Amino acid sequence: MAEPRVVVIGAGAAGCAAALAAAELGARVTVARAALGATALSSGAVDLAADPVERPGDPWEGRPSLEEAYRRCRNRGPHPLDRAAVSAADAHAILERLASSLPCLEMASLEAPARVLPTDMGTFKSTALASPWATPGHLPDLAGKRVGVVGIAGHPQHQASGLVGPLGALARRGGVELELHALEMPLLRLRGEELAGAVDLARLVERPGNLDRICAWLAERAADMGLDFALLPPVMGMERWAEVRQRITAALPAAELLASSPPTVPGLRLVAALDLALEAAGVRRVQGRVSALETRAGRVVGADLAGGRRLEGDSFVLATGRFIGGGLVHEQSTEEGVLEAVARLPVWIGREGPGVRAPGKFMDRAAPGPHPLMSAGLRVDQGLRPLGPGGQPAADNLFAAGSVVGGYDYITGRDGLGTALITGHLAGLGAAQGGAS
Amino acid sequence: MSKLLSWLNLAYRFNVHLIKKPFVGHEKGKAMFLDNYRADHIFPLGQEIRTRLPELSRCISCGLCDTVCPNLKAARRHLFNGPSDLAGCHTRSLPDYHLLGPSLDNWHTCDRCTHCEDVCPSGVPLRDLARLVTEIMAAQEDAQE
Repeated sequence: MAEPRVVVIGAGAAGCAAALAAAELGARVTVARAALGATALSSGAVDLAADPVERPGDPWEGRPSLEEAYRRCRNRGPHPLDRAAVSAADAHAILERLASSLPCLEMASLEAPARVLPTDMGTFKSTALASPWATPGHLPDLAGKRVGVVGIAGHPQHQASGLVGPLGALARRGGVELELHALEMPLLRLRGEELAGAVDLARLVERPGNLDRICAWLAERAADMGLDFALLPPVMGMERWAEVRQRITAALPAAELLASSPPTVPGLRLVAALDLALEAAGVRRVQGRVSALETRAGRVVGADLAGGRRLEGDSFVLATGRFIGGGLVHEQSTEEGVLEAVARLPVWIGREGPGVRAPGKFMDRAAPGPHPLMSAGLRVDQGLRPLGPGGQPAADNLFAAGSVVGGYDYITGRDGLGTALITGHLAGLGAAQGGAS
Repeated sequence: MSKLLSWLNLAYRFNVHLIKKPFVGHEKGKAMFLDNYRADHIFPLGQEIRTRLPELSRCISCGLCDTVCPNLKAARRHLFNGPSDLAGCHTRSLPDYHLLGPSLDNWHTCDRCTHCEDVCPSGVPLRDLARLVTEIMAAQEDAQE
Protein backbone atom coordinates (compact mmCIF):
# COMPACT_ATOMS: atom_id res chain seq x y z
CA MET A 1 0.00 0.00 0.00
CA ALA A 2 1.32 3.43 -0.93
CA GLU A 3 1.94 5.92 1.84
CA PRO A 4 -1.04 8.28 2.28
CA ARG A 5 -0.73 11.82 0.94
CA VAL A 6 -1.84 14.49 3.41
CA VAL A 7 -2.41 18.12 2.43
CA VAL A 8 -2.39 20.66 5.28
CA ILE A 9 -3.85 24.10 4.53
CA GLY A 10 -2.27 26.66 6.82
CA ALA A 11 1.19 26.73 8.39
CA GLY A 12 0.59 28.22 11.83
CA ALA A 13 0.87 26.26 15.06
CA ALA A 14 -2.07 23.97 14.19
CA GLY A 15 -1.02 23.30 10.60
CA CYS A 16 2.58 22.56 11.52
CA ALA A 17 1.56 20.24 14.38
CA ALA A 18 -0.76 18.39 11.97
CA ALA A 19 1.98 18.05 9.36
CA LEU A 20 4.52 16.78 11.91
CA ALA A 21 2.07 14.21 13.31
CA ALA A 22 1.10 12.94 9.86
CA ALA A 23 4.73 12.76 8.74
CA GLU A 24 5.59 10.76 11.85
CA LEU A 25 3.01 8.16 10.79
CA GLY A 26 4.71 7.89 7.43
CA ALA A 27 2.43 10.10 5.34
CA ARG A 28 3.72 12.22 2.48
CA VAL A 29 2.78 15.70 3.67
CA THR A 30 2.39 19.01 1.84
CA VAL A 31 1.75 22.23 3.74
CA ALA A 32 0.32 25.30 1.98
CA ARG A 33 1.11 28.64 3.60
CA ALA A 34 -0.77 31.73 2.43
CA ALA A 35 0.85 34.20 4.80
CA LEU A 36 1.85 34.56 8.41
CA GLY A 37 -0.95 34.56 10.96
CA ALA A 38 -1.78 34.59 14.63
CA THR A 39 1.09 32.26 15.60
CA ALA A 40 3.68 34.70 14.24
CA LEU A 41 1.97 37.54 16.12
CA SER A 42 1.78 35.63 19.42
CA SER A 43 4.03 36.04 22.45
CA GLY A 44 5.71 32.77 21.49
CA ALA A 45 4.54 31.24 24.77
CA VAL A 46 1.93 28.48 24.68
CA ASP A 47 -0.97 28.35 27.12
CA LEU A 48 -3.07 25.33 27.88
CA ALA A 49 -5.70 26.49 30.38
CA ALA A 50 -6.84 29.65 32.09
CA ASP A 51 -5.08 30.28 35.38
CA PRO A 52 -6.42 32.34 38.29
CA VAL A 53 -3.39 34.66 38.33
CA GLU A 54 -4.59 36.07 35.04
CA ARG A 55 -6.74 38.25 37.26
CA PRO A 56 -4.43 40.81 38.89
CA GLY A 57 -4.46 40.67 42.65
CA ASP A 58 -5.21 36.98 43.07
CA PRO A 59 -2.67 35.37 45.39
CA TRP A 60 0.25 33.46 43.88
CA GLU A 61 0.03 30.85 46.62
CA GLY A 62 -2.49 28.04 46.38
CA ARG A 63 -2.76 28.13 42.59
CA PRO A 64 -4.07 24.95 40.98
CA SER A 65 -1.67 22.62 39.20
CA LEU A 66 -1.63 22.76 35.42
CA GLU A 67 -3.56 19.48 35.40
CA GLU A 68 -6.22 20.87 37.76
CA ALA A 69 -6.49 24.13 35.78
CA TYR A 70 -6.89 22.13 32.57
CA ARG A 71 -9.58 19.94 34.14
CA ARG A 72 -11.49 23.01 35.38
CA CYS A 73 -11.53 24.46 31.87
CA ARG A 74 -12.89 21.29 30.28
CA ASN A 75 -16.53 20.25 29.92
CA ARG A 76 -17.48 23.84 29.25
CA GLY A 77 -19.49 23.38 26.08
CA PRO A 78 -18.32 23.00 22.51
CA HIS A 79 -14.54 23.32 23.06
CA PRO A 80 -12.72 21.18 20.45
CA LEU A 81 -10.61 19.55 23.20
CA ASP A 82 -13.87 18.42 24.83
CA ARG A 83 -15.22 17.18 21.50
CA ALA A 84 -12.07 15.14 20.98
CA ALA A 85 -12.09 14.06 24.67
CA VAL A 86 -8.45 15.00 25.32
CA SER A 87 -7.40 14.25 28.89
CA ALA A 88 -4.86 16.36 30.78
CA ALA A 89 -2.27 13.59 30.49
CA ASP A 90 -2.83 13.28 26.72
CA ALA A 91 -2.62 17.05 26.27
CA HIS A 92 0.61 17.14 28.23
CA ALA A 93 2.12 14.23 26.34
CA ILE A 94 1.33 15.84 22.95
CA LEU A 95 2.77 19.21 23.95
CA GLU A 96 5.85 17.65 25.52
CA ARG A 97 6.51 15.67 22.37
CA LEU A 98 6.19 18.79 20.21
CA ALA A 99 8.36 20.82 22.58
CA SER A 100 11.12 18.20 22.30
CA SER A 101 11.50 19.03 18.59
CA LEU A 102 11.14 22.82 19.06
CA PRO A 103 14.11 24.37 20.87
CA CYS A 104 12.14 27.53 21.61
CA LEU A 105 9.54 25.73 23.76
CA GLU A 106 10.08 24.23 27.18
CA MET A 107 7.23 22.25 28.76
CA ALA A 108 6.16 22.86 32.33
CA SER A 109 5.34 20.06 34.71
CA LEU A 110 1.72 18.93 34.86
CA GLU A 111 1.79 18.63 38.64
CA ALA A 112 2.96 22.19 39.37
CA PRO A 113 1.02 25.40 38.65
CA ALA A 114 1.71 26.99 35.26
CA ARG A 115 4.69 29.33 35.07
CA VAL A 116 4.09 33.00 35.80
CA LEU A 117 6.30 35.13 33.57
CA PRO A 118 6.73 38.92 33.46
CA THR A 119 5.81 40.72 30.23
CA ASP A 120 7.21 43.83 28.56
CA MET A 121 3.94 45.59 29.44
CA GLY A 122 4.62 45.35 33.19
CA THR A 123 2.15 42.52 33.76
CA PHE A 124 2.46 38.81 34.57
CA LYS A 125 1.14 36.04 32.39
CA SER A 126 0.78 32.40 33.31
CA THR A 127 1.81 30.01 30.60
CA ALA A 128 2.39 26.28 30.13
CA LEU A 129 5.20 26.33 27.57
CA ALA A 130 7.64 29.12 26.97
CA SER A 131 11.09 29.69 25.55
CA PRO A 132 14.02 28.65 27.76
CA TRP A 133 15.08 32.28 27.29
CA ALA A 134 11.93 33.38 29.20
CA THR A 135 11.27 30.62 31.75
CA PRO A 136 13.96 31.65 34.29
CA GLY A 137 11.80 34.78 34.85
CA HIS A 138 9.23 32.62 36.72
CA LEU A 139 8.00 34.96 39.45
CA PRO A 140 8.57 32.87 42.61
CA ASP A 141 12.16 32.25 41.47
CA LEU A 142 12.83 36.00 41.49
CA ALA A 143 11.86 36.53 45.14
CA GLY A 144 14.79 37.51 47.32
CA LYS A 145 17.06 38.38 44.37
CA ARG A 146 18.31 41.79 43.28
CA VAL A 147 16.76 41.97 39.83
CA GLY A 148 17.72 44.49 37.16
CA VAL A 149 14.93 45.30 34.71
CA VAL A 150 16.78 46.30 31.55
CA GLY A 151 15.52 48.70 28.90
CA ILE A 152 17.18 50.09 25.78
CA ALA A 153 18.32 53.68 26.17
CA GLY A 154 16.73 55.95 23.58
CA HIS A 155 14.14 53.44 22.44
CA PRO A 156 10.60 54.49 23.42
CA GLN A 157 9.16 50.97 23.35
CA HIS A 158 11.68 49.42 25.71
CA GLN A 159 11.91 51.64 28.78
CA ALA A 160 12.65 49.84 32.02
CA SER A 161 11.60 52.73 34.27
CA GLY A 162 7.95 52.19 33.36
CA LEU A 163 8.02 48.47 34.15
CA VAL A 164 9.51 48.40 37.63
CA GLY A 165 6.49 49.97 39.33
CA PRO A 166 3.72 47.81 37.83
CA LEU A 167 5.70 44.54 38.10
CA GLY A 168 6.56 45.22 41.73
CA ALA A 169 3.02 46.24 42.62
CA LEU A 170 1.43 43.21 40.95
CA ALA A 171 3.86 40.82 42.61
CA ARG A 172 3.21 42.46 45.99
CA ARG A 173 -0.55 42.10 45.57
CA GLY A 174 0.02 38.40 45.02
CA GLY A 175 2.16 38.22 48.16
CA VAL A 176 5.67 38.18 46.61
CA GLU A 177 8.14 40.97 47.40
CA LEU A 178 10.50 41.73 44.52
CA GLU A 179 13.58 43.95 44.52
CA LEU A 180 13.58 45.53 41.07
CA HIS A 181 15.97 48.14 39.65
CA ALA A 182 15.45 49.91 36.34
CA LEU A 183 18.47 50.06 34.00
CA GLU A 184 18.69 51.50 30.51
CA MET A 185 21.20 49.71 28.32
CA PRO A 186 23.18 52.39 26.43
CA LEU A 187 25.01 50.11 24.09
CA LEU A 188 22.86 49.64 21.03
CA ARG A 189 23.87 52.43 18.72
CA LEU A 190 20.51 53.36 17.26
CA ARG A 191 21.90 55.78 14.62
CA GLY A 192 18.78 57.92 14.65
CA GLU A 193 16.69 54.77 14.38
CA GLU A 194 14.62 55.23 17.51
CA LEU A 195 11.70 53.72 15.63
CA ALA A 196 13.58 50.48 14.90
CA GLY A 197 11.24 47.55 15.31
CA ALA A 198 11.69 44.52 17.51
CA VAL A 199 13.20 42.42 14.72
CA ASP A 200 15.76 45.10 13.81
CA LEU A 201 16.76 45.31 17.47
CA ALA A 202 17.07 41.52 17.71
CA ARG A 203 19.44 41.54 14.72
CA LEU A 204 21.43 44.44 16.19
CA VAL A 205 21.87 42.44 19.40
CA GLU A 206 23.24 39.50 17.42
CA ARG A 207 26.11 41.51 15.93
CA PRO A 208 29.31 40.30 17.60
CA GLY A 209 30.50 43.75 18.66
CA ASN A 210 27.13 44.63 20.19
CA LEU A 211 26.84 41.29 21.97
CA ASP A 212 30.29 41.74 23.50
CA ARG A 213 29.35 45.20 24.73
CA ILE A 214 26.04 43.97 26.19
CA CYS A 215 27.75 41.15 28.07
CA ALA A 216 30.48 43.45 29.41
CA TRP A 217 27.92 46.07 30.45
CA LEU A 218 25.75 43.48 32.25
CA ALA A 219 28.77 42.01 34.06
CA GLU A 220 29.75 45.53 35.17
CA ARG A 221 26.22 46.29 36.46
CA ALA A 222 26.16 42.94 38.26
CA ALA A 223 29.37 43.89 40.03
CA ASP A 224 28.67 47.53 40.93
CA MET A 225 24.98 47.13 41.84
CA GLY A 226 25.17 43.63 43.24
CA LEU A 227 22.59 42.30 40.77
CA ASP A 228 21.70 38.61 40.86
CA PHE A 229 19.48 38.53 37.79
CA ALA A 230 18.43 40.59 34.77
CA LEU A 231 15.08 40.80 32.97
CA LEU A 232 15.75 41.78 29.36
CA PRO A 233 13.49 43.14 26.60
CA PRO A 234 12.21 40.37 24.29
CA VAL A 235 14.59 41.23 21.45
CA MET A 236 17.61 39.24 22.55
CA GLY A 237 18.56 37.56 19.30
CA MET A 238 16.67 36.38 16.25
CA GLU A 239 18.06 33.32 14.44
CA ARG A 240 20.97 33.05 16.88
CA TRP A 241 18.97 33.58 20.08
CA ALA A 242 20.33 30.43 21.76
CA GLU A 243 23.91 31.63 21.32
CA VAL A 244 22.98 35.13 22.53
CA ARG A 245 21.34 33.56 25.58
CA GLN A 246 24.38 31.47 26.35
CA ARG A 247 26.73 34.45 26.10
CA ILE A 248 24.56 36.74 28.21
CA THR A 249 23.75 34.24 30.96
CA ALA A 250 27.49 33.56 31.30
CA ALA A 251 27.83 37.24 32.28
CA LEU A 252 24.73 37.39 34.51
CA PRO A 253 21.76 35.02 35.00
CA ALA A 254 18.95 36.51 32.92
CA ALA A 255 15.60 35.98 31.22
CA GLU A 256 13.69 37.69 28.47
CA LEU A 257 10.37 39.33 29.28
CA LEU A 258 7.39 37.98 27.34
CA ALA A 259 6.60 40.10 24.29
CA SER A 260 3.15 41.60 24.02
CA SER A 261 2.88 43.90 21.01
CA PRO A 262 3.30 42.57 17.48
CA PRO A 263 5.48 42.00 15.59
CA THR A 264 7.05 39.88 18.34
CA VAL A 265 10.48 38.33 18.10
CA PRO A 266 9.54 35.21 20.15
CA GLY A 267 6.48 34.66 17.91
CA LEU A 268 8.65 34.79 14.79
CA ARG A 269 11.19 32.49 16.44
CA LEU A 270 8.37 29.99 17.06
CA VAL A 271 7.34 30.15 13.39
CA ALA A 272 10.97 29.66 12.33
CA ALA A 273 11.35 26.68 14.68
CA LEU A 274 8.15 25.09 13.33
CA ASP A 275 9.48 25.62 9.81
CA LEU A 276 12.77 23.92 10.67
CA ALA A 277 10.90 20.99 12.25
CA LEU A 278 8.82 20.60 9.06
CA GLU A 279 11.97 20.59 6.98
CA ALA A 280 13.60 17.99 9.23
CA ALA A 281 10.48 15.80 8.94
CA GLY A 282 10.65 15.96 5.15
CA VAL A 283 7.41 17.92 4.77
CA ARG A 284 6.96 19.73 1.45
CA ARG A 285 6.09 23.40 1.85
CA VAL A 286 4.21 25.46 -0.72
CA GLN A 287 3.62 29.23 -0.67
CA GLY A 288 0.13 30.22 -1.77
CA ARG A 289 -3.47 30.72 -0.74
CA VAL A 290 -5.85 27.79 -1.24
CA SER A 291 -9.00 29.18 -2.82
CA ALA A 292 -11.26 26.10 -2.98
CA LEU A 293 -11.53 22.38 -2.30
CA GLU A 294 -12.87 19.92 -4.83
CA THR A 295 -15.14 17.23 -3.40
CA ARG A 296 -16.16 14.03 -5.16
CA ALA A 297 -18.51 11.41 -3.65
CA GLY A 298 -18.16 12.69 -0.11
CA ARG A 299 -14.36 12.93 -0.22
CA VAL A 300 -12.11 15.88 -0.83
CA VAL A 301 -9.81 15.16 -3.76
CA GLY A 302 -7.94 18.37 -4.44
CA ALA A 303 -7.12 21.87 -3.22
CA ASP A 304 -6.86 24.71 -5.72
CA LEU A 305 -4.03 27.15 -5.16
CA ALA A 306 -3.94 30.67 -6.52
CA GLY A 307 -2.30 30.78 -9.93
CA GLY A 308 -3.94 27.59 -11.23
CA ARG A 309 -1.81 25.15 -9.22
CA ARG A 310 -3.48 22.23 -7.49
CA LEU A 311 -2.63 20.02 -4.53
CA GLU A 312 -3.95 16.45 -4.60
CA GLY A 313 -4.12 14.18 -1.60
CA ASP A 314 -5.84 11.37 0.25
CA SER A 315 -6.80 13.57 3.18
CA PHE A 316 -6.85 17.24 3.97
CA VAL A 317 -6.46 19.32 7.11
CA LEU A 318 -7.91 22.82 7.39
CA ALA A 319 -5.73 24.91 9.70
CA THR A 320 -6.44 28.33 8.28
CA GLY A 321 -7.02 30.30 11.47
CA ARG A 322 -9.95 32.45 12.50
CA PHE A 323 -10.01 36.17 11.75
CA ILE A 324 -6.31 37.08 11.66
CA GLY A 325 -5.34 34.06 9.55
CA GLY A 326 -8.32 34.61 7.27
CA GLY A 327 -9.92 31.22 7.94
CA LEU A 328 -13.35 32.79 8.31
CA VAL A 329 -14.94 35.31 5.96
CA HIS A 330 -18.06 37.41 6.18
CA GLU A 331 -19.90 37.31 2.85
CA GLN A 332 -22.02 40.44 2.93
CA SER A 333 -22.82 40.44 -0.76
CA THR A 334 -24.34 36.97 -1.01
CA GLU A 335 -26.12 37.02 2.36
CA GLU A 336 -24.45 33.73 3.23
CA GLY A 337 -23.15 35.37 6.38
CA VAL A 338 -20.01 34.13 8.12
CA LEU A 339 -18.41 31.19 6.30
CA GLU A 340 -15.25 29.14 6.42
CA ALA A 341 -13.08 30.65 3.67
CA VAL A 342 -11.66 27.64 1.77
CA ALA A 343 -14.31 24.89 1.73
CA ARG A 344 -17.20 27.33 2.36
CA LEU A 345 -18.28 25.25 5.36
CA PRO A 346 -20.92 26.54 7.78
CA VAL A 347 -19.79 28.50 10.82
CA TRP A 348 -21.40 28.68 14.25
CA ILE A 349 -21.20 31.65 16.59
CA GLY A 350 -21.99 30.60 20.14
CA ARG A 351 -25.22 28.63 19.88
CA GLU A 352 -26.25 30.32 16.67
CA GLY A 353 -25.70 28.95 13.23
CA PRO A 354 -24.99 27.68 10.76
CA GLY A 355 -24.64 30.81 8.68
CA VAL A 356 -24.91 33.91 10.85
CA ARG A 357 -25.70 36.93 8.70
CA ALA A 358 -25.21 39.76 11.16
CA PRO A 359 -22.14 38.92 13.25
CA GLY A 360 -22.02 42.50 14.54
CA LYS A 361 -24.71 41.76 17.10
CA PHE A 362 -22.29 39.41 18.88
CA MET A 363 -19.94 42.27 19.68
CA ASP A 364 -21.47 44.12 22.58
CA ARG A 365 -18.95 46.49 24.10
CA ALA A 366 -20.84 46.49 27.39
CA ALA A 367 -21.08 42.69 27.68
CA PRO A 368 -19.29 41.59 30.85
CA GLY A 369 -18.27 38.08 29.71
CA PRO A 370 -16.51 36.67 26.65
CA HIS A 371 -17.78 37.89 23.28
CA PRO A 372 -19.42 35.00 21.38
CA LEU A 373 -17.97 36.28 18.09
CA MET A 374 -14.49 35.54 19.44
CA SER A 375 -15.31 31.81 19.53
CA ALA A 376 -16.82 31.70 16.03
CA GLY A 377 -15.78 28.82 13.81
CA LEU A 378 -16.43 25.36 12.51
CA ARG A 379 -18.04 22.62 14.58
CA VAL A 380 -16.25 19.29 14.56
CA ASP A 381 -17.05 15.69 15.45
CA GLN A 382 -15.02 13.55 17.83
CA GLY A 383 -12.42 12.88 15.14
CA LEU A 384 -12.03 16.64 14.42
CA ARG A 385 -13.88 16.42 11.11
CA PRO A 386 -15.79 19.65 10.40
CA LEU A 387 -19.58 19.38 10.19
CA GLY A 388 -21.65 20.36 7.19
CA PRO A 389 -24.99 22.20 7.44
CA GLY A 390 -26.83 18.97 8.31
CA GLY A 391 -24.67 18.25 11.34
CA GLN A 392 -22.83 15.36 9.63
CA PRO A 393 -19.10 15.48 8.77
CA ALA A 394 -18.70 17.46 5.54
CA ALA A 395 -16.31 14.86 4.10
CA ASP A 396 -14.75 11.62 5.37
CA ASN A 397 -11.20 12.74 4.75
CA LEU A 398 -11.38 16.41 5.78
CA PHE A 399 -10.12 17.44 9.23
CA ALA A 400 -9.89 20.81 10.97
CA ALA A 401 -7.55 22.14 13.66
CA GLY A 402 -6.64 25.34 15.43
CA SER A 403 -8.74 28.45 15.64
CA VAL A 404 -10.72 27.83 12.44
CA VAL A 405 -12.56 25.42 14.76
CA GLY A 406 -14.95 27.41 16.93
CA GLY A 407 -16.24 26.82 20.41
CA TYR A 408 -13.29 28.33 22.21
CA ASP A 409 -12.29 31.90 22.80
CA TYR A 410 -8.52 32.15 23.14
CA ILE A 411 -8.67 35.72 24.35
CA THR A 412 -10.47 34.98 27.61
CA GLY A 413 -9.83 31.21 27.59
CA ARG A 414 -6.03 31.70 27.47
CA ASP A 415 -5.49 28.45 25.60
CA GLY A 416 -4.99 29.55 22.01
CA LEU A 417 -1.70 28.03 20.93
CA GLY A 418 -2.09 25.02 23.25
CA THR A 419 -5.42 24.11 21.68
CA ALA A 420 -3.99 24.77 18.21
CA LEU A 421 -1.01 22.45 18.75
CA ILE A 422 -3.10 19.65 20.32
CA THR A 423 -5.96 19.72 17.80
CA GLY A 424 -3.36 20.04 15.02
CA HIS A 425 -1.56 16.94 16.25
CA LEU A 426 -4.80 14.94 16.49
CA ALA A 427 -6.08 16.12 13.09
CA GLY A 428 -2.71 15.16 11.57
CA LEU A 429 -2.95 11.65 13.06
CA GLY A 430 -6.55 11.37 11.82
CA ALA A 431 -5.57 12.51 8.34
CA ALA A 432 -2.65 10.07 8.09
CA GLN A 433 -4.89 7.18 9.20
CA GLY A 434 -8.05 8.29 7.41
CA GLY A 435 -6.21 8.65 4.13
CA ALA A 436 -4.82 5.13 4.27
CA SER A 437 -8.19 3.43 3.82
CA MET B 1 -39.72 88.19 17.65
CA SER B 2 -36.19 87.37 16.46
CA LYS B 3 -37.31 83.83 15.81
CA LEU B 4 -40.08 85.08 13.55
CA LEU B 5 -37.62 87.33 11.69
CA SER B 6 -35.19 84.50 11.12
CA TRP B 7 -37.98 82.28 9.74
CA LEU B 8 -39.03 85.10 7.38
CA ASN B 9 -35.42 85.55 6.29
CA LEU B 10 -35.10 81.83 5.61
CA ALA B 11 -38.34 81.80 3.59
CA TYR B 12 -37.13 84.83 1.57
CA ARG B 13 -33.75 83.19 0.82
CA PHE B 14 -35.43 79.96 -0.16
CA ASN B 15 -37.69 81.75 -2.64
CA VAL B 16 -34.78 83.70 -4.10
CA HIS B 17 -32.91 80.39 -4.47
CA LEU B 18 -35.88 78.80 -6.28
CA ILE B 19 -36.11 81.70 -8.71
CA LYS B 20 -32.31 81.84 -9.36
CA LYS B 21 -31.86 78.09 -9.76
CA PRO B 22 -32.90 77.70 -13.44
CA PHE B 23 -30.56 80.55 -14.45
CA VAL B 24 -27.47 79.92 -12.30
CA GLY B 25 -27.42 76.09 -12.10
CA HIS B 26 -25.61 73.86 -9.62
CA GLU B 27 -22.05 74.19 -10.77
CA LYS B 28 -21.03 77.27 -8.88
CA GLY B 29 -22.37 75.89 -5.60
CA LYS B 30 -20.64 72.57 -6.10
CA ALA B 31 -17.36 74.28 -6.96
CA MET B 32 -17.61 76.37 -3.80
CA PHE B 33 -18.40 73.25 -1.80
CA LEU B 34 -15.33 71.40 -3.15
CA ASP B 35 -13.16 74.49 -2.72
CA ASN B 36 -13.91 74.56 0.97
CA TYR B 37 -12.64 70.99 1.30
CA ARG B 38 -9.64 71.53 -0.95
CA ALA B 39 -8.28 74.04 1.51
CA ASP B 40 -8.12 71.11 3.96
CA HIS B 41 -6.40 68.80 1.43
CA ILE B 42 -9.62 66.84 0.83
CA PHE B 43 -10.70 66.16 -2.75
CA PRO B 44 -12.80 63.60 -4.68
CA LEU B 45 -11.21 60.17 -5.18
CA GLY B 46 -11.11 58.34 -8.50
CA GLN B 47 -13.30 55.38 -9.35
CA GLU B 48 -10.57 52.70 -9.04
CA ILE B 49 -9.53 53.70 -5.58
CA ARG B 50 -13.14 53.97 -4.41
CA THR B 51 -13.98 50.42 -5.50
CA ARG B 52 -10.76 49.03 -4.04
CA LEU B 53 -10.94 50.96 -0.79
CA PRO B 54 -12.05 48.01 1.44
CA GLU B 55 -9.22 45.81 0.12
CA LEU B 56 -6.64 48.56 0.61
CA SER B 57 -7.82 49.30 4.13
CA ARG B 58 -7.60 45.81 5.63
CA CYS B 59 -4.32 46.47 7.46
CA ILE B 60 -4.38 45.28 11.09
CA SER B 61 -1.11 47.10 11.93
CA CYS B 62 0.74 43.92 12.86
CA GLY B 63 4.00 45.14 11.34
CA LEU B 64 5.01 41.77 9.87
CA CYS B 65 5.66 43.37 6.45
CA ASP B 66 8.36 45.57 8.00
CA THR B 67 10.15 42.55 9.44
CA VAL B 68 10.77 41.03 6.00
CA CYS B 69 11.33 44.14 3.84
CA PRO B 70 14.87 43.97 2.38
CA ASN B 71 14.71 47.71 1.66
CA LEU B 72 14.15 48.46 5.30
CA LYS B 73 17.29 46.64 6.38
CA ALA B 74 19.37 49.19 4.48
CA ALA B 75 17.24 52.30 5.08
CA ARG B 76 17.43 54.82 7.87
CA ARG B 77 14.21 54.62 9.84
CA HIS B 78 13.44 58.33 9.76
CA LEU B 79 13.57 58.18 5.93
CA PHE B 80 11.75 54.94 5.30
CA ASN B 81 9.72 53.33 8.02
CA GLY B 82 8.69 50.25 6.09
CA PRO B 83 5.77 49.07 3.96
CA SER B 84 3.44 49.35 6.96
CA ASP B 85 3.71 53.14 6.61
CA LEU B 86 1.78 52.95 3.35
CA ALA B 87 -1.08 50.93 4.79
CA GLY B 88 -1.09 52.91 8.01
CA CYS B 89 -1.20 56.38 6.42
CA HIS B 90 -3.66 55.21 3.80
CA THR B 91 -6.18 54.19 6.42
CA ARG B 92 -5.91 57.50 8.22
CA SER B 93 -7.11 60.52 6.28
CA LEU B 94 -6.48 62.49 3.13
CA PRO B 95 -4.86 65.46 4.91
CA ASP B 96 -2.19 63.06 6.26
CA TYR B 97 -1.07 61.80 2.86
CA HIS B 98 1.77 64.29 2.55
CA LEU B 99 3.42 62.63 5.59
CA LEU B 100 4.08 59.68 3.30
CA GLY B 101 6.38 61.69 1.03
CA PRO B 102 9.75 60.50 2.43
CA SER B 103 8.58 56.89 2.66
CA LEU B 104 7.35 56.87 -0.91
CA ASP B 105 10.62 58.36 -2.19
CA ASN B 106 12.34 55.31 -0.76
CA TRP B 107 9.58 52.98 -1.86
CA HIS B 108 10.38 53.84 -5.46
CA THR B 109 13.75 52.17 -4.98
CA CYS B 110 11.86 48.99 -4.01
CA ASP B 111 12.98 46.22 -6.39
CA ARG B 112 9.49 44.69 -6.32
CA CYS B 113 10.11 41.58 -4.33
CA THR B 114 6.86 40.21 -2.87
CA HIS B 115 8.02 39.46 0.66
CA CYS B 116 5.70 41.99 2.31
CA GLU B 117 2.63 40.65 0.50
CA ASP B 118 3.66 37.04 1.17
CA VAL B 119 3.56 37.51 4.93
CA CYS B 120 0.59 39.90 5.22
CA PRO B 121 -2.15 38.10 7.22
CA SER B 122 -4.82 40.39 5.74
CA GLY B 123 -3.66 40.19 2.14
CA VAL B 124 -3.19 43.94 1.64
CA PRO B 125 -1.91 44.45 -1.96
CA LEU B 126 0.95 46.64 -0.79
CA ARG B 127 2.55 47.13 -4.20
CA ASP B 128 -0.74 48.23 -5.76
CA LEU B 129 -1.30 50.42 -2.75
CA ALA B 130 2.05 52.16 -3.36
CA ARG B 131 1.00 52.93 -6.93
CA LEU B 132 -2.46 54.19 -5.96
CA VAL B 133 -1.11 56.26 -3.09
CA THR B 134 1.32 57.91 -5.50
CA GLU B 135 -1.60 58.70 -7.79
CA ILE B 136 -3.64 60.11 -4.94
CA MET B 137 -0.75 62.32 -3.87
CA ALA B 138 -0.32 63.60 -7.43
CA ALA B 139 -4.06 64.31 -7.66
CA GLN B 140 -3.88 66.06 -4.31
CA GLU B 141 -1.09 68.30 -5.57
CA ASP B 142 -3.05 69.08 -8.73
CA ALA B 143 -6.06 69.96 -6.63
CA GLN B 144 -4.00 72.47 -4.64
CA GLU B 145 -3.03 74.40 -7.76
